[in-house]
Amino acid sequence: MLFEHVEAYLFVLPALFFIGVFDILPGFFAFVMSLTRWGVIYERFAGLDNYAALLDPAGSRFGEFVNSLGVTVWYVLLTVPVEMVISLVAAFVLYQGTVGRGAYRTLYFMPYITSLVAAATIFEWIFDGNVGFLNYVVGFFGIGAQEWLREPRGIFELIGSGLGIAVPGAVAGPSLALLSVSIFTTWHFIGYQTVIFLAGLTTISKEYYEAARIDGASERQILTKITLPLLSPVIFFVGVIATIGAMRSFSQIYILTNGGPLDTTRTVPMLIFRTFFERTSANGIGLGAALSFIFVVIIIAITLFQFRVLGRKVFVE
Amino acid sequence: MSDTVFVEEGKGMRRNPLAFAVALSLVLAACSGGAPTGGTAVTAAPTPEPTTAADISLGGPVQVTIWHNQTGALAKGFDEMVADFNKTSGKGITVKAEFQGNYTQIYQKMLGAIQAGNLPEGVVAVENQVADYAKAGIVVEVDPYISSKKNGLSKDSLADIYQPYIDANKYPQYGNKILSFPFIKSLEVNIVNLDLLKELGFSAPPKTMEEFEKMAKAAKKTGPDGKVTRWGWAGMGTEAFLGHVMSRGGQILNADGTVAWGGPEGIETLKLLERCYAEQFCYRPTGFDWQDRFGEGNLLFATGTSTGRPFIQAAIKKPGGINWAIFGMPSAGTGKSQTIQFGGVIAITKSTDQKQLAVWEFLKWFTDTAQTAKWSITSSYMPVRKSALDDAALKSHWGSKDIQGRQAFDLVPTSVAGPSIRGWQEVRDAIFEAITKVQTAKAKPEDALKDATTKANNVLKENK
Repeated sequence: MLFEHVEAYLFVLPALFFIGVFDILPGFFAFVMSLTRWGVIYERFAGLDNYAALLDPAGSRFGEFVNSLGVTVWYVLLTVPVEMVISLVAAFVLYQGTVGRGAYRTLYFMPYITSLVAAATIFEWIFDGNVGFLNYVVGFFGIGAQEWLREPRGIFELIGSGLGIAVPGAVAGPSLALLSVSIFTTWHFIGYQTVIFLAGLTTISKEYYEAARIDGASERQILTKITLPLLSPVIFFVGVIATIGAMRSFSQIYILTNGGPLDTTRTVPMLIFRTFFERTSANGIGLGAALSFIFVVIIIAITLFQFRVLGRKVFVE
Repeated sequence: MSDTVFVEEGKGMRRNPLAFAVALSLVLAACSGGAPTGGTAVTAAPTPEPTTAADISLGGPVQVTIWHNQTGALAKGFDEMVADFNKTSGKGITVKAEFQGNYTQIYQKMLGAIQAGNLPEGVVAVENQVADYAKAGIVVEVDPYISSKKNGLSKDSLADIYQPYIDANKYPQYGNKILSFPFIKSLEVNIVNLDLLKELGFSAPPKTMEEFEKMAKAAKKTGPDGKVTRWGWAGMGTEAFLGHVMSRGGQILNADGTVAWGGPEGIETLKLLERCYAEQFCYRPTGFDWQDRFGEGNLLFATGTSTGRPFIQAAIKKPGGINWAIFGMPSAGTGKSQTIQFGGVIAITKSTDQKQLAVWEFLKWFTDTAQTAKWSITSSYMPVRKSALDDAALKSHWGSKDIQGRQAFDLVPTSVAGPSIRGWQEVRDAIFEAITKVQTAKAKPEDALKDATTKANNVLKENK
């Protein structure tokens, strides 16, 4: 018995070693850094000063932190629900025995396996304000050329101005630049989610459908009473993973807008990067580490909230 | 260990006990004096020249690594020059030039290297990054090397280097010491399509801001659909903003270290930009596409780096070519035409006396008349010496293939170095933010500049 335990521990030891060396130790060290004033070099122990600078409304970095948090929330709202709805619909369509399902599945999955950086670079051209393909396309609908990645004005403000309505700044909405980055993110991740939903659909026993149809259930009833409830664990899983992923997004934003224009795409990861690497001399490492820890706590809190609130609605067979 | 190693004031002795011991022994030796001998009258011995690590001789083969940011043809040219130095220096020095990405990427790698204590002996950087490195105590002061009787520059040689290029390497947060040396130099210049200027009825590029705006407005042309097809100006970036401010009589920094560009000169500059976009005589670039508009003949003026010359030349697609020129900043009010010069410098990092001297020897060679002229032809960067004008190859190059190169070089005396201080990059970000706000009509010039001034001053305060 004891030997069995020892053997088990021996099996997990390599994994524990790597997790310890590459995750836990750096994490612990980063936490220690967050308690210091550390610019280019370590200066002094600072206690909770960095946390105060970020969380205290009178703190020197509070404003930019709150702004980046707001941008992150908009980014999650613009990507996660849209991705999930589109990929769910795509999965349903593919599940209905569409001819060439395999080819479609590959086609949907293609963006996901394309290098994020390379794809973002291509989209940079598509979104270009002067020679971009997107402006060419929207031109057919009578929409004037837009500065997709360089427009800091909110989308509601822009729509309002098109209709001759002045929209106040407080309800201007996310910038057009953030919307553009969100469009790219959605395009990139739809395939991944479609494949997961499709896998989830194939696990639902066909007997349920046969029985429902024999009992005279309509297709709508089958969808809402059988498919969606039985797929809810997968929907929940995708929702949690997509939310965490969106909150942590970095590469595509870095390539497409680098946080601009006017910080309207500066999500928290972008702010962490800027604080750590671009504002290093003024305690950048200490503040960047503190910012990372606050963000980790926020992500954990949101995930727990999803488990507590949405997790209860998940149907388990 | 070198006594020329730069360390932040008050920290040196704690960090460097060996230096402290050497200094103490020197003080004790100086205080002890010598006993008179032979009963003869004691005459004061001549004071020996103070020697530093900059005055040593190289004692054998020494290899140093320099991290740089040159790519493509420039990297090839740089590598060739390094190979030439390694072959011909006759001092047993081997320079290993390593490309490590752009300025930001090098800076990020340097942050890691500083923590790890594993540094290259020389590193290309912009000045505010050097100021950061100096805070970490890893940068070697260059003044003793420049003034070294044995290994330094003669008075004439030093005077031959343009003063703004030397000034850029003086760091006010570190007692104005020289902590780096020029590597690649550019300046913010205006370019003009002379054919279009003539077509519009003007005989020469503008001397004043008023003329500049008048000409730019005159260049605007719209198509049948009402869309603008020809523009007057493109390219108001951070450096152009500072050039405009100075040419209107303003300054970059106040004596107390706060920013000075937030005054009327800055507001006037942004108001010009506001009018330019509102009246649509400005082209809004998305990168370097303004070069294409210029090359098509649809842009009268542009403002940008002097090093962009080959790209502009390559962008000229108009049949018959375009007759174009470089000119300085127009002035206004009490201001005289001034511009900003910028570019990479090389900092020598703390290593051994031998290696530090080896890097200095390379820098000295790289910036001598023949090499700076050669590098200028290869790279389109400005030569750092006035005497480069006498170099036959450069003369011929500027006289035929690159006449705008000479025009840019003539503006060097009107150039001013940007502040070499910690936090300057963030100050530039704040200026850029103000420009973007005005460009996108998010704020009025006064409000945009007020916000930027507050931000910039907070940054400078944090970095004091």
